[in-house]
Amino acid sequence: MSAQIINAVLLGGYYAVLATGLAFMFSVMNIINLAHGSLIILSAYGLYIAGHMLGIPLALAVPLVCAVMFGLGCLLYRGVLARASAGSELLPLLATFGLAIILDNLLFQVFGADTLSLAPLVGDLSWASVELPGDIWVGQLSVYILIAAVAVIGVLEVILRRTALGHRIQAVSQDRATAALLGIDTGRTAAIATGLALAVGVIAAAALGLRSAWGPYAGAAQLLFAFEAIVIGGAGSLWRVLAGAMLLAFAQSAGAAVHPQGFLIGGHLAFLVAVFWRLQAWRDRLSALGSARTAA
Amino acid sequence: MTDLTITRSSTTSRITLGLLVAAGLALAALPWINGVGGSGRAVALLVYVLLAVMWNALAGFAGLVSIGQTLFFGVAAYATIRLSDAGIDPFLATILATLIGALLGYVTSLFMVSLSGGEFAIGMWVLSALAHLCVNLDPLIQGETGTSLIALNAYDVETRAALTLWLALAFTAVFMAALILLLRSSTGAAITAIRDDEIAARSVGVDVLRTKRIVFVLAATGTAAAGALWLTSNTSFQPKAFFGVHWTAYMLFMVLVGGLGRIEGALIGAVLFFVIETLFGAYGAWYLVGLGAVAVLFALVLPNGLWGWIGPRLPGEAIPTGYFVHKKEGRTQHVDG
Amino acid sequence: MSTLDVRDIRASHGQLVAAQGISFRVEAGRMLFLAGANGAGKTTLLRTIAGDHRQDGGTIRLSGVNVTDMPAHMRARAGLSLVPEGRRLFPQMTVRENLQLGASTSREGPWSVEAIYDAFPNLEKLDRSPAGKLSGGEQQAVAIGRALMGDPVAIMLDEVSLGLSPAAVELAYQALRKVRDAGIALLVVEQDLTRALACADELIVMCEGREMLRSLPGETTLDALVSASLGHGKNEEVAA
Repeated sequence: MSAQIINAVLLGGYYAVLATGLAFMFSVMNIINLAHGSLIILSAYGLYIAGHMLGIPLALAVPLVCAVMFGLGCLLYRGVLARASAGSELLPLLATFGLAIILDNLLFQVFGADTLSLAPLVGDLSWASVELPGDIWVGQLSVYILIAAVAVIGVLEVILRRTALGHRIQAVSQDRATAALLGIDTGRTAAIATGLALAVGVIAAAALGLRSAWGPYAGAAQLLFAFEAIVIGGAGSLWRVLAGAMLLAFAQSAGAAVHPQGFLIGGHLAFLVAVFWRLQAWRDRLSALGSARTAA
Repeated sequence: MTDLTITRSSTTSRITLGLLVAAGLALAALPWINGVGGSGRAVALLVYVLLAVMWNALAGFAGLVSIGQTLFFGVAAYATIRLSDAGIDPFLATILATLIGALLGYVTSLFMVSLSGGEFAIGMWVLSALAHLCVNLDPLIQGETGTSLIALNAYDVETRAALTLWLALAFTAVFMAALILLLRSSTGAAITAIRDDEIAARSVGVDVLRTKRIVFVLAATGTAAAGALWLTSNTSFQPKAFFGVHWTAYMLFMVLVGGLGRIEGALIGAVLFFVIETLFGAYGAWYLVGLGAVAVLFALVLPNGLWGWIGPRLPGEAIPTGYFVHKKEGRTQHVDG
Repeated sequence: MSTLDVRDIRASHGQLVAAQGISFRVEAGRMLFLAGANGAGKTTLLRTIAGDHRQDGGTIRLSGVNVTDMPAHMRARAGLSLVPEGRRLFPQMTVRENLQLGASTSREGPWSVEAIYDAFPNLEKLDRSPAGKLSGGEQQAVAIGRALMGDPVAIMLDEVSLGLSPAAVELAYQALRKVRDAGIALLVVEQDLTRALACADELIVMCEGREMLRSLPGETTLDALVSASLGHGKNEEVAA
């Protein structure tokens, strides 16, 4: 039992690193990037090319692909998101969904339907395990992924709250007009934020490629996991994403315990429960507000 | 004093109505002209029209972008399989499955519609994925292997094709009429208000949530009808072919290219998509890359689609949902609602 | 060469004209007041000059440099600052963080957080407080401080005294006099005509997007200002 809980926590680490880029982009730009999953898969292919085809060690390939994706993120903002977010609220959703369709099918055309993995790049690590007190064995890799998730969230939180760049990003996200009046180049700031979100996606891509395998159409599933983790965690700081990711993993493990095919169903149900619960909380708040007004 | 006359129809709208009726009659006569193959393609066109018009109603009028309308499309197809397996005539099952889709739409609307834009979009996708997984658990479906609507074998091929086509025509006519009537009712004024400015609509007392739910249930029902029709026309049911996200890509393409927020736009988009699919569908993934690219291009460059360009150049509205106020001097002013 | 030189500015909200042909100059170390009733177009005029609202015509020069075609953030970097209506601080950020954001113009100059605290001593103890928790007067001080942090040559202030207590208004104007004495050109929107008459170096009264009256404070009266803000021309007498 405790082994299952620990494994769910570790799986939660993976979902957290998957969701962080999406949550970051939403919190600083109010854009739900429906191409998030597909961009992570693109990064995974990038790592595959760097690692397998060019023979670059993974420790070098990750920062390299991060830099490439950062640049791509800046271009994505300049070329698509800036235009889309200037129009109606629907446009960013429509444009990023269209982008996901393009990316998925392009990747299929270029790389074919084969599933690929990065596991061979790290040799033993992909199956090595460590013993925890109480005779519990856990995969070494999933521990590293959890550590990476905590590190990524920590770094992003420090950037947002402690650096001048972070304050500029916050200013742009909260009040774009005022930010511009202070001399902040809002377009450039938003482009950098998009770049950061995509660079974080490379860490997620590395985690995905090392712990399992992916195909060209795997982006949709990753987007759903990421989104479910965010909704279950609730809005606020990025640390809530970590909590939501753990809860998602618990729900999936519980689902798998009930039925052999219940893994995904458990996660989806947890998402629905979170949606329901939040609607209820929202109604309570409204009625509390109403009664306060009547009392006054 | 100026004399004002208020009318709804115009030459443009009478021509449009004539064209639509002629197209409907031509399609209805197809079984005698073109046989089984032609009927199958015609059903495909009508299914696209239904999907485009319904998704456009949802996104263009209620401001709800759904990635998971396949929930209704797939569940209705599945329900048709289940009902006909229980001994119900497959065509009756198609109609009953549409009603099941309406019920599912009602239940879903209770909690989904109050979500914000992005949460609603992906939330619907989660629901569709959940339904997909649950359908796969049914031993009758055998997971992704799927099954087919065997009961259709009771009809000979010609009768089956003709009946499916006429059913598709009837469904399309009913749902188009329902949408136009809805837009012309007092709810329609509320829908137009929400489309133009949701916050302003709320401030003048429009019940935004209720209005959105009405549109959502209508869209769910129409999409369910399309799913049941697609199954009856193609007979085989593989869950992936019905719950797949490519359907959302099609809807996005049709509505963005045709014109968001206009019934005429959805119609043009569906016809255009039908032609493109006929010509390029065989190119597989490249075809989907092209669809996505064109949709994104339209979203960024021409967000009102083709109809946003054509519509204002026509005298009067093709499918009028508002009124025209004519002054005696001959100047015409358009009033929404 | 004037610090801020605005010529024939025109701006609109859709079909509604908000400013038609407004021109004026503000010299360094001078305070120009812009008065007028609600809806006279003052806020739109300020936002248009700052680049936050689309400009339909006219030119804006800052120390002789034409900034008309620059976006808002480039105008800020050229030394033009706007303290918007309602202050628009970032409520979750601390006072220091809000002030530091003001330095985003990357201009050289005398202002630093410490210099601001010297000029507004009551802010120093609020250094780490979230800006949203401050009183209206304190927020106004932070907003003015944030503008100064960008080392501007001209500052425009919208509705300085709106929503402030009389004591806070007095403090804000003391601060503005210091800013003016530091050689910065000031353009101040103020609804309180008595206050405008007392502090201004020059006055413009707007009504329905037009200039109704322009005067030195010593050469006009409160009645004339009221009459102009109601839309009566210079030579019309108020029907009392």
